[in-house]
Amino acid sequence: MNIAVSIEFLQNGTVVALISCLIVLLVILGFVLVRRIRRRKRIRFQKLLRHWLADAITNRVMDPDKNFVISIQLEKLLLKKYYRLLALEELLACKKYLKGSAMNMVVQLYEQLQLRKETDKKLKSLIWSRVVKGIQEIYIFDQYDAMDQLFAFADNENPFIRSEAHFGVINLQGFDALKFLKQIQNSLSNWDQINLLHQLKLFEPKPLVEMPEWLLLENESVVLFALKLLEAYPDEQYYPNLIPCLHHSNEDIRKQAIRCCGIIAQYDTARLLEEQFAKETNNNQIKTLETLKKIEATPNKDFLLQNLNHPDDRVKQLVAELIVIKFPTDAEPMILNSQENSHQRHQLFKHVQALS
Amino acid sequence: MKKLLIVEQEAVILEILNHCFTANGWVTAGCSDGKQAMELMNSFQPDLLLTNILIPFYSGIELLQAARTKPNPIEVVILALLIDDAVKKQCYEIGAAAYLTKPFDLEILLQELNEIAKNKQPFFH
Repeated sequence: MNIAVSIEFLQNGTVVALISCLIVLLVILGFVLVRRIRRRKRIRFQKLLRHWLADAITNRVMDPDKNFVISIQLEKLLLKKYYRLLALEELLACKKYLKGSAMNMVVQLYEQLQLRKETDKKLKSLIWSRVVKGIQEIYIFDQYDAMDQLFAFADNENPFIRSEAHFGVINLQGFDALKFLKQIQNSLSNWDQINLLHQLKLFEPKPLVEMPEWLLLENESVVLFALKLLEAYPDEQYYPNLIPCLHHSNEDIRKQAIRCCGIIAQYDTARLLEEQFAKETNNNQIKTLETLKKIEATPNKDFLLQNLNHPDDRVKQLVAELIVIKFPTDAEPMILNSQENSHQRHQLFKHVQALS
Repeated sequence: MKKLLIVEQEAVILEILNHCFTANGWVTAGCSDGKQAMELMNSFQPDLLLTNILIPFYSGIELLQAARTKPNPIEVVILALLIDDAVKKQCYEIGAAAYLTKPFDLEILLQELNEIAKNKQPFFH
């Protein structure tokens, strides 16, 4: 009796397992089929769209006055979100690689197909990667009317969103877009700063009228970036605003200020750098000496003699180089009489002489 | 008729280039990787090769080398996203006819290729 029940139970179990496997198999098959159909549809649409795009762009290049017509088939497909997003991807690739009239046409198409609606949806998304994509679409398709939206993202909590927004506003407005610097509380990463400086190179430089305000901001990353801007686009009128940065609590800011001093140096630069020298970190001391080498002003002899006995050999060598450059006639006695160890003195002098 | 082989990984750009050059009297063939390009160089026998640098299997520079060492050398125009002076110099040393960067102006590209084709008339079929 028990054995019969067990066999029946096993048979039932086997049937259930078989049915389950079959269902799972059908689900997988269904899934694969749907994906295949979708893929085929996508390929067919891309082929159609690419062909139409190529035709429209070629016609525009050959005859700039010719208007393009969207086929009924394409127009129908573009009513669906899936195809609209695919079209957006294709247009993005075109805009990225084309210039001139062809590029203008791509922007025109983006607007005419009302793909901006898809971009706006992305900007409202709660997923940061979609927002970033939306920001990219705004600046790639030159949507100047969305500048306010981009400025609003410039101080977003998410570093990827704000980084893309900074890049976007600069991409659209160049130097005028730098007004966002005063609004941001979050920091500008080093990568951001490099990107923005690189992007600005593509634009005609404009006076950095807000420089004095930037240099006084609490956001240290903005102060640092402002100094990098001053180094890249030197303007002597901001020299007085630069001096307080030599005494800033942030070492990187002081270092950048020293670099700027080397570019927009004035009559008192050497004295100011010498005064600050003793309070500086070793790295910044080296930067100061390199700057003193670059500027025209002559450093104080006593300052140089005093630092020929500096504990750091790199500093000692730079000071000796400075003496050879700035006091070529007195260099030998200055260096040879300065140190206690005569062998060391001779070695240093020989080395510096060889360098110069 | 001048024969042009286009090697470009971005499908939509390949289609645009194909379309544009065909409409301007060229016979074109296009592909998206170096392997196909090598095969097409033998079977299609182009007069001019327009290629990107970063493509699968063989790089644009390898294609350039192969094109220039043929008994009947093929003129090569590089169309790349890279603006690396060292790469550019290398391309010219190997024998590239021109090095254009992306984003590119279709009209200028067309003019440039027509110009190269005109100057090298004896090589064309």
